[in-house]
Amino acid sequence: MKGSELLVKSMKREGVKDLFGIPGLYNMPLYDSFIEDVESGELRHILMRHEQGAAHAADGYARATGRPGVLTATAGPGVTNIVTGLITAYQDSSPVVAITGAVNRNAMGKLSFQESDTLGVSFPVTKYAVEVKTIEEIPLWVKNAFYIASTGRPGPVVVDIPRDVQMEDIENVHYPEEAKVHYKPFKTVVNRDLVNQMALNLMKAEKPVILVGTGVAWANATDEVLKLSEFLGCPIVSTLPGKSAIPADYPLYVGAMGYYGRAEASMAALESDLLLAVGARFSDRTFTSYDEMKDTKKIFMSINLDPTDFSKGIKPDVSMAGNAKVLLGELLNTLSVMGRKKANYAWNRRINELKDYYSQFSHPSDDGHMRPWHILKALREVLPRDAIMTTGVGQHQMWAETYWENLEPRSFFSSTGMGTMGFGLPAAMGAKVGRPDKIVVDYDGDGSFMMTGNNLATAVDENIPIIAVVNDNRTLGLVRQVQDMFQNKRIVGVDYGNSPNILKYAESFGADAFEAHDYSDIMEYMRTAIKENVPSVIRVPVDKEELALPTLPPGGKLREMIVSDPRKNNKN
Amino acid sequence: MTQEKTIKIEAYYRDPGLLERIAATFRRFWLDIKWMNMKVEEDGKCTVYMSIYDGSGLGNLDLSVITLSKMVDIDFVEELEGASYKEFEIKYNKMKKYEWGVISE
Ligand SMILES: Cc1ncc(C[n+]2csc(CCOP(=O)(O)OP(=O)(O)O)c2C)c(N)n1
Ligand SMILES: [Mg+2]
Repeated sequence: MKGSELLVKSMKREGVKDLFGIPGLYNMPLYDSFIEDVESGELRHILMRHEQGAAHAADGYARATGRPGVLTATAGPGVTNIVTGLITAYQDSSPVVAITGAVNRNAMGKLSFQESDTLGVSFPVTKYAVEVKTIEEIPLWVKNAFYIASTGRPGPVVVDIPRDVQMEDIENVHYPEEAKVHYKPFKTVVNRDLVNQMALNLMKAEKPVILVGTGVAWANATDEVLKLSEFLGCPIVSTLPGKSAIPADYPLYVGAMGYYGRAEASMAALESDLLLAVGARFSDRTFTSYDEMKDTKKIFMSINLDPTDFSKGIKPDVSMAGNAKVLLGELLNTLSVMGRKKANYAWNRRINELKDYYSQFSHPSDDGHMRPWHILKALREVLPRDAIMTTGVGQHQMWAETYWENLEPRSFFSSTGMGTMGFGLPAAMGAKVGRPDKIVVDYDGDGSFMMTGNNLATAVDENIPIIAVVNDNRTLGLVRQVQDMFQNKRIVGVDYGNSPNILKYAESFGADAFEAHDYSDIMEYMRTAIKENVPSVIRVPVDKEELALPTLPPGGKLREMIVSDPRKNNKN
Repeated sequence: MTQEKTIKIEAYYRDPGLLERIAATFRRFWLDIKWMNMKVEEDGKCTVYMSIYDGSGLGNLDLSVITLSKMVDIDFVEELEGASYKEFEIKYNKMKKYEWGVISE
């Protein structure tokens, strides 16, 4: 059997059904070995238009399905093109496996054609990267890669295989039953004392808050979080990505907190006397100032898979490392034995006051332009409950953070740790390939959309009916806003001219294209796009002067948040 | 605050990428390596002793060690208190010199 055949067989043993990629000299043996599988429908290969798109698609696939997303790229430019996608998956803990072809073993280190130091460029942007040195190693390292990517804190893994290793022949094939690698997925240890301590603190707290992170989605612990919140009458806030774990219509959910988060959510976190973080690191995007948080003198508790997060930013008073579902289950049992349910009436009244107070700022009326909150409301009205939304990076992403109501776990995906413009469209494509039963919408900005928009061609060719809603403000809005608000209106290097015409651009790929003039257009075109079930782009013009609020001055504290447009004297 | 730590890393050696990743961990935390000693056994078991130094004053020593402890191929890291070391001596018969691509004997 040839090495590349062995590679395909090993991948199929890991359950691989879909593969995003672009072929080149060094991964061509792999392509040659899966032709029959593609023809029989056992494997689906999706030919992307840029390897960055392949990596984001694999990432979107992983986030939507919970299973590793797989991509392949050739040596050299193929490999360097996936770097942005890998670091994006790494920062957001998403399991991605990249199979890369490398130059022949005897050509390495000699500046041979398309030679890249693949391990060298991959180490800093992945959980692991490995060079497969002999044909015998192929099955083991494919197994190990999937194991490393999907266990513990998930993350991307690169398996680099020289072309001549793929071309070699082997007679006796051995597929390992188990991974064999010096690696330990994080343990879940149930420590009774700590569980009791957490339970006691939660019972005693008068103003508790649960901060939910993406770990809750990865651990499928949404039910446990909601039960805990109900039992304690405890409001929930989330990180930006953690938003994907909590249905927005859960009554005690206040919203995503942080830099561009909802004001009432950030205030609830500040005013609380106890904060229990679940599956969330205390990132500098969520807690913009650690001193500010520490000054509140609250009790910090944390349930998190990766114990090293307890050593960053804020050290929790009580922490338990492990799987959120298991540990929350223990906590719930202990609480139910320990005491009666709590309602925390006064605290919830205060939360409602905060919600009421800030709502006057968050829904400004039209001023001749469509308003983002209303655009997202219109989308919510027509999209089914379980629709998936991805985003680009910019103001539109922040509007999605504050206004998009995702109603099912695992239905909102954004590049939050890395902030990678261009994530939205290919990630939506990956999500759609993984979950063809769902409507998948990429809520994008014009700048972000144009970074990976070429992959629309793939969406059309491969019949991946995603719907991109492009907020076209002809500017790099979020950067413009910082210049406008915090750099004395010194606006430079952000505004676009008239090119391209987004509608013609979309049409040139063969996608359906719509121009929305008002909210009812948005709803109508969305309904049409869903019905037509083909790749579609809805262009929504947005004013370049529109701000993503709340916001903070760079490096600012949450209490310094600006909730209404300072350029206007009225509230809106 | 401590400025220096001596550590022992017990790891599995597959290729020099191991050292690269260890070094990168410290580089990213703005720490320096003062000295190191590494030995690889037949079976790939690898022991590294090294002294890391916080010259930048950013206070990342603890965080770097715990971060290193969760790296693939690393079994564990030990922090050694009161450690000292003896410089080892290299003996040789002949020398060949490589200088910017030029070889001289
Ligand atoms: C690849 C990349 N380059 C640059 C940035 C810096 N950046 C952050 S937001 C932003 C503007 C994004 O513009 P657009 O996608 O049109 O979104 P808008 O803010 O206008 O809604 C830029 C340039 C980034 N996050 N990613
Ligand atoms: Mg824009």
